Amino acid sequence: MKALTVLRVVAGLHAVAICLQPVFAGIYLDGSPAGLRMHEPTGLAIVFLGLAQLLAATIWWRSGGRWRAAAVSLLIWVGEVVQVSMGYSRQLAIHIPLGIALVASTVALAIWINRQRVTSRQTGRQRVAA
Amino acid sequence: MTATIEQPAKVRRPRASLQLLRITLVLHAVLVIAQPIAAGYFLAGNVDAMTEIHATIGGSVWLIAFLQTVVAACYTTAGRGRIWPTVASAVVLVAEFVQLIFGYAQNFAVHIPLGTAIVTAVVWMTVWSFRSTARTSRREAKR
Repeated sequence: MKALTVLRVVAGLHAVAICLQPVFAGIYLDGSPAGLRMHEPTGLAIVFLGLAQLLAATIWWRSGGRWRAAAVSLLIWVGEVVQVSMGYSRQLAIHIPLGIALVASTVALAIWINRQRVTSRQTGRQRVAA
Repeated sequence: MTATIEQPAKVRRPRASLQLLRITLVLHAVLVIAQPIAAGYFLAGNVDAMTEIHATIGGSVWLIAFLQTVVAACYTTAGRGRIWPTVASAVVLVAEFVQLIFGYAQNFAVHIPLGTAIVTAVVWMTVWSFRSTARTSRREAKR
């Protein structure tokens, strides 16, 4: 039950942070270098958030949750590592489409995670879904 | 549409309108997914990707969004499906016009986040339309 709560919080933070990235990129392309100064540390922080989410999702899965969250978190985290390297090497033909795919999948996964209920296997008794 | 579940009479569910909605959504999704790819190629130095692909799709994709809104309205009314796909399609239609304006104005602080939101919304609607819940009528969905 606690594992799911932690996972919900981490996934929510991760989703909010990743939504900032296109905003910062847009500010940069509008001609303000401040956009890139925020895009870079946010991107690195997101990789750590992605790793934290993978950890939380794995703990939730092993303590009776679903495996899908961990599997998708792993894919997202791998995508984020690729995304950071493509960003630094200015491979924008990959960086932009991959970025949008990462935003879409991270937001969708955060919504999915926040709709999950604590299962009976975790609490030891049947819970009525709200 | 593989297995037909036994159902009491008079329960009307979206069928033809859902198939049309799926076709429209897939077409729409393919076009909007192509947009960031073309933009990426442009920013990587390929000018043709902007003038020939990004601008062409951007200038015409709202037609698909309009078609999608009409089909979604059929899904809601004739098919007795849920209401939100019609609302969401109309919002996407407006968003694509705004996106076109900000694109030509080269205001990227709006264009890029809004573009991300449009792609996310259209892809998510497409995935949703192929799930079994999309086949239920809105009366069943309420239960």
